Amino acid sequence: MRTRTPAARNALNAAGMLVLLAALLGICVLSVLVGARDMAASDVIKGLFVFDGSTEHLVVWESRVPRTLIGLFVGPALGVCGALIQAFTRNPLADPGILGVNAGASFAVTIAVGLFGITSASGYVWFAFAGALIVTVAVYVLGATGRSGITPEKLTLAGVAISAVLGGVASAITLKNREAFDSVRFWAVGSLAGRSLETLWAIVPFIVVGLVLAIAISRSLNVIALGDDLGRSLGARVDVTRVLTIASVTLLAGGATAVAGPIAFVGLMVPHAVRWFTGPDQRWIIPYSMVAAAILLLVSDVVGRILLPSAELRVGIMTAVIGAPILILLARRRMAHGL
Amino acid sequence: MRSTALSRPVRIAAILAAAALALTACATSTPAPVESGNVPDSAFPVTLEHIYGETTISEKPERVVTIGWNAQDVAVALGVVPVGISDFTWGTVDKYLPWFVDEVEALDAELPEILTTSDAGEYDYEQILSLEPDVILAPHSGVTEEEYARLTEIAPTVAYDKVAWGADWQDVTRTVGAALGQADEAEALLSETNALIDAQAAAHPEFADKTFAYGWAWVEGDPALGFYMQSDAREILLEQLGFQPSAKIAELSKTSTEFYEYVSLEELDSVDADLYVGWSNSQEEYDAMLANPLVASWGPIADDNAYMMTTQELGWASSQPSVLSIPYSLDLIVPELAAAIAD
Repeated sequence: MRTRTPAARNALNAAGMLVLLAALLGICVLSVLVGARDMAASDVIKGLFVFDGSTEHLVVWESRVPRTLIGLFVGPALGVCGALIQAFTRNPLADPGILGVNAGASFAVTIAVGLFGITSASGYVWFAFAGALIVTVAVYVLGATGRSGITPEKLTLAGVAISAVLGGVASAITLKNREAFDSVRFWAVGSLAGRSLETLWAIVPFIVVGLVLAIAISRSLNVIALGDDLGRSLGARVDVTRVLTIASVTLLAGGATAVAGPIAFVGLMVPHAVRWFTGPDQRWIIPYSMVAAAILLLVSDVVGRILLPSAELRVGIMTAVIGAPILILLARRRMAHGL
Repeated sequence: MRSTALSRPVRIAAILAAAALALTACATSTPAPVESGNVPDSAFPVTLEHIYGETTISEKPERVVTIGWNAQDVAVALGVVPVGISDFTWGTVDKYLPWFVDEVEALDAELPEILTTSDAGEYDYEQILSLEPDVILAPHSGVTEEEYARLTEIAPTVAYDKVAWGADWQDVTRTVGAALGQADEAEALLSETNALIDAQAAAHPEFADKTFAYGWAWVEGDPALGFYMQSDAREILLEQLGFQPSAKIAELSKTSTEFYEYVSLEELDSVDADLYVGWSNSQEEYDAMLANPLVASWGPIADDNAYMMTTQELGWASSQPSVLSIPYSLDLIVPELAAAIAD
């Protein structure tokens, strides 16, 4: 453990935050500048500001800007969601999938496509969202039954079990009706590209509420990290914090998954890596996760565009390709950090 | 990749079953009646070249299994109803292609068994073995070298020629004709079918100076639009009707080792075409595609010079043109193409 005064640590964290924000700004600029179409920076800027219906204008506003904006909302949602889950389950390797959120969203999309024949994004996005919500609540109820009340262990078990069941049923439905699922094949991979802003704007309010909620409860999460009993004795309202955490996780994971499809790894890796730098204070971990996850997602998206210009490597694949080596590097440099 | 641990028991079972078959075949060796007297013995043995080497068929095959597309159509057109064919289920099509069913019924024969595949897309080798094929024809398919090796253990197998799933329908017709010892009949069928195409091309001289690109419907989340290459049977049929491939497609075709390539939505305007032809799973899917601003601004779509096949009978007819599907579908497709390029 590093020995620094809280004041020094806060100053360091604040400085780090500024660096991250600068990096985020840089990658946003890159994300608009770089793409399959070879365009000079001047053309991009012209496309950005001159509304003349030219191809440059269309490419900037219908391809580059939407995917950048989607990354800017989906990234923070995934990162913060992971941070909350890791704090909540007191498991440094937990990810949003552990509470069944992704499985719930995927299952609901499967139902929307397989049973209701909905193949448009604007239609199934609400199914994804509702699925995430219902499954998280179900996992919560299942985890809360029994004498010992709600514990992170029971929640995790309930989440993993329900995910497995839903995953199996969803696969069965998909395999019976492959053509219908052709239309959602890119939702299932996780990608920022080729999506409309309409879908994003419909979901953004939920993500924003989730993020605000996460910041609001970060102090209480610090107290709960000491253990339920010690937390209570220090005046934390453990159960209220838990419910608010679950609410935030559902809004964030459900929203992110609805917009961009299931993107794994960001929620696991980002808060984990962030903690090595910030230490265990959730008031830093949560905002750091927000910015760092957006950076990881956008960098992955841009690199995917450069590596395979025409078809593009999907961001869901690239996040793991880029994130995993970073995580391994960090893990080799330090002992795995608990919470 | 299949794990060897999984495939070994299957392979052993296959070998055992093959041995058992050989034994029963010996025990009840009644000479096969020579029904088709019009097939001269001189046609066999016939050796066919394909991507995995050469396959020799020593005598007229009676029991034929076809894998992939087109081969089953050619076989029944030549009067040989396969004992097993691939599944053609897709949207409005249930298991069998309509023109194939018509032809089998005309022969007063039974429909063949549908070859099943596992969820992972693996062939059911035991099912194929149980069909006791004399030959396995897969000239328009994507059988891998590994699959080819296993199929060869069951019966002489003819794989695709150069590009997986990318086969000239005319070559497939000739290959199947040769494999069945009916090369001349196959050639005659080909001439008849090509005469139909030529007649349509002659009736539509306006096709000749139009360029086209053929692909499949874009779906939400895809940063690119897919197009078929010139090695694909779909392209070949449209070229036979007189259309010229878009310069971009011709350029991509030169270097591509696949039957399709993607073009980013950002660069769609690099595909300069007078006509866009495609298939989609449904009208809704096509509507969603048209709602994408980048797609909507692309030349052929913006000018309303597009023909999208939204029913799967036509999707199949165009995707695997054959001596049966072309006579069935030409009168349906050509007027739509003419309408699409009309102002």
